[in-house]
Amino acid sequence: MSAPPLKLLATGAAIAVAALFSLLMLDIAVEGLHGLLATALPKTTTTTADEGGVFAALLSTVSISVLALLTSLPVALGCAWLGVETLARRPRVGTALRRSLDVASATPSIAIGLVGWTLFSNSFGLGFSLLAGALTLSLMIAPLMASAFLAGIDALPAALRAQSLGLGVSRWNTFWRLLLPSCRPAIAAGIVLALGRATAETACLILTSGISTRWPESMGDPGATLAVHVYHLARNVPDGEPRAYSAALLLVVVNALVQVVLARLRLGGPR
Amino acid sequence: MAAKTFRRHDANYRQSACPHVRNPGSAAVAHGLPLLRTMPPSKWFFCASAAALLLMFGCNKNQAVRFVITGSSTCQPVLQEVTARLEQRDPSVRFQVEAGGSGRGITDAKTRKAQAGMASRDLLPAELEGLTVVPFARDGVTIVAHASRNLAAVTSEQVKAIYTGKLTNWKELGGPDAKITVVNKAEGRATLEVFLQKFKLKNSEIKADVVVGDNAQCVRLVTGDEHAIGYLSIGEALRAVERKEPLRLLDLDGVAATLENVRDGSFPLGRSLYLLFPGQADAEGQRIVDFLASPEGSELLYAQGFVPLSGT
Amino acid sequence: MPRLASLLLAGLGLLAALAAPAVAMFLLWRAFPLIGDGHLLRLVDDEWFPGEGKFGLLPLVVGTASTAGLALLLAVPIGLLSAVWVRFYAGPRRARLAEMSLGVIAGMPSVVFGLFGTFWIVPALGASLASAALVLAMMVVPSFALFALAALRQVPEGLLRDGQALGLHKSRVIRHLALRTAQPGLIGAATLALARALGEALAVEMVAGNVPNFPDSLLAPVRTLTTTLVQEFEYAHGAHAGALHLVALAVVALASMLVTLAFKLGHGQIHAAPEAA
Repeated sequence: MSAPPLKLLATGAAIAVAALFSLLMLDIAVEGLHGLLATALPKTTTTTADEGGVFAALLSTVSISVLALLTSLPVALGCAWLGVETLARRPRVGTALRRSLDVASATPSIAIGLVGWTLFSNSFGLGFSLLAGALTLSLMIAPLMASAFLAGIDALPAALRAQSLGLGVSRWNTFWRLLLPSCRPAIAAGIVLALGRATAETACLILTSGISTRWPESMGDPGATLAVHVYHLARNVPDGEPRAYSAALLLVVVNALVQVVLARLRLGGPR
Repeated sequence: MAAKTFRRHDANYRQSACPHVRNPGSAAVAHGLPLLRTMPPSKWFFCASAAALLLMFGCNKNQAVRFVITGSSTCQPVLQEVTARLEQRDPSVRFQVEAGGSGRGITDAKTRKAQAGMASRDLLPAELEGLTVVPFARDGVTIVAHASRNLAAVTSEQVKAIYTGKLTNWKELGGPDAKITVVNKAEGRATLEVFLQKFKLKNSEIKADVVVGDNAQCVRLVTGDEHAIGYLSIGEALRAVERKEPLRLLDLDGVAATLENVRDGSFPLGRSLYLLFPGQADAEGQRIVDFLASPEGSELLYAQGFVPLSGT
Repeated sequence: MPRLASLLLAGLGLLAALAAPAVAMFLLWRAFPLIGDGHLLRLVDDEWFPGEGKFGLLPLVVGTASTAGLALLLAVPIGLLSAVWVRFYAGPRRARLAEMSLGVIAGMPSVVFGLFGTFWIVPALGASLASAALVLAMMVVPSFALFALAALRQVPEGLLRDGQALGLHKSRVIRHLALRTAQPGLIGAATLALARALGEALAVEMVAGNVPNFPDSLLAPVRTLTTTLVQEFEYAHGAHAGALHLVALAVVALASMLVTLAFKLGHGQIHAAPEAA
């Protein structure tokens, strides 16, 4: 019986995956650049409602992401604090907390979007707005961040906290001055991870921040993020293909930057 | 400066607290984000909270009057254009036009969630209550196919047969031997309701191959698939043809899908477009109505493929 | 002061800690008018036509199960083999590059895959079950491969060396020792991939055709639970809106069950590596 060609199979699969995603990237890059060049020329059939285009989407992306990060950071830190405290006193509650966070970060974003739409857009009267989008987004990324923070704290030596408390340092100071500074890479990774999720998100934003292509002037205005803009152009706009690709190129570049930073934080740290 | 002393203190403290952990996180600090490196976390926390609150409430202040219009996605492009022009004249009012279907337009206007609603179908008697209904244009729903198809006209019977799955091949319409891709509209769209009403169909009887949301999605689909047959607002379809999209509007029961036939009422699948106001139209609402009735408004409606009511 | 602040902080933390149950409770509450009306049986029906008061979830559930299941069937072998390559056959430099690129692609927005599907796959296969499954498979391959890789990395090095010392061929060591040992983690990884596939909304909506019926072939259009939300949320009132919240609840319940199951099956070999969630 000859040995099965596992090496061949594995190498083949890896090459296939690499080829497929290279094709994808190449497609986005070529078509995207093409689209950028085409749309840089004066347009023939634009209406005034279409004014903002891809740069308005970029602005929306930045403002939604920043606001969502800022609102979820305190919440995530609070959750880490809660995790540190409850885990020390009641391990069961601590485990339940981590499970809850895992489930929350894996909740399909469309369902969170529906909650955000019903709650923020309708009940709170925010309508389609950057604010409603950011709040909904933070509902999604806060557990994700908290989960990453807690993973970082869990990775610290178990005795660290006990020793600090034993020396008479308060819980509060132990948390802020010892535990958090000791797991800075995990915190940075959590934030970057959340940022990556925020820039990639479509489903929960399409329901809350809307698909407006005009310049947002305040957080109460609707605005499509880049990802939503790509969806809108590819799906709803006849002849939107070149513009969809150029927006997708921008989106991929922004997102890949975030992901590379994340990968460096993950893999590039000291061995 | 303050941050620096803080950090020194931080390090001393850490050394004394856990002598066996050699400066925990110091290697990590070198790889952390610079911002994280220079600021103690508790300050970070308060800065973030403060900034979030500030952004949320500070940026939300908007001096301009806000006028929200929601409803039919058929009406949305027109109103978007109309309000953009009104804004150019008077920037103090900021209009916001959101699509969401006629049903949403009716509900939002009734509950005063929006200052005006848009509807692209006739309102039921129960829905009329408490609303001022202003018709502003006529539109029709046309059957469309890919321009490469050698088909110019269909009859009501054919449409019915196609949509109920009794007529499935282009051969039977004089085309090549290929399966018809039947494009239907998603639930809640007024276009679907007008279509079902005219052909006395139930949505559950329709055997569709693709379900699309907006009119524009329908154009995308039919222009991208030469075997497709769909239906959508005449306005949207004419604009697509004007953009040289490979789309063909089919005559229905011998009547061409043109604005003239919509205007004189001979086109069988006609409908009116309405603006809905809670109670009486306020000053801003009146400005929109007046604009739509003006010569400039008529011109704009024509350009968008609708027939203005104020006969020009 | 620290006492007050710590209370405040704990309160904020509760927001995230309770996000998952809160979302589920909220959806249940919104769906309640429909359930409370004694219409529960109407949900177990094979027709979804809200306009006619027919809220049968079966076609949507079947659509979700068939697209996600088929995607998994495609993604698991390819993802697993790629992970094996990265772990056992690629040199350290290539492995690092591969892992990094997989991370970048795993975090890529799903619309990009939808866009690719719209202009590359749909023209060939039509808006259909097959297109949706392909797009989903592309989407979950990188994250599944990363999870599988993490599980393979946890196989003790000594075990593999023992196997080779016994004169086993490398491929045998991998198949009989490494994959066997990592099995719980691999199953967990596949479960997480399934959870991700059935929660995806927009990329599927762009390519699936979205007709609410039972697909009778690979080229038939399908409607999933999530795409129903995308297409109808804005246009729903009353019972229809209630039904949509119930659909969302079903998606959330399915996903959280799968995630919990993944951690159970994973026996600790699955980390909450959240980039794939």
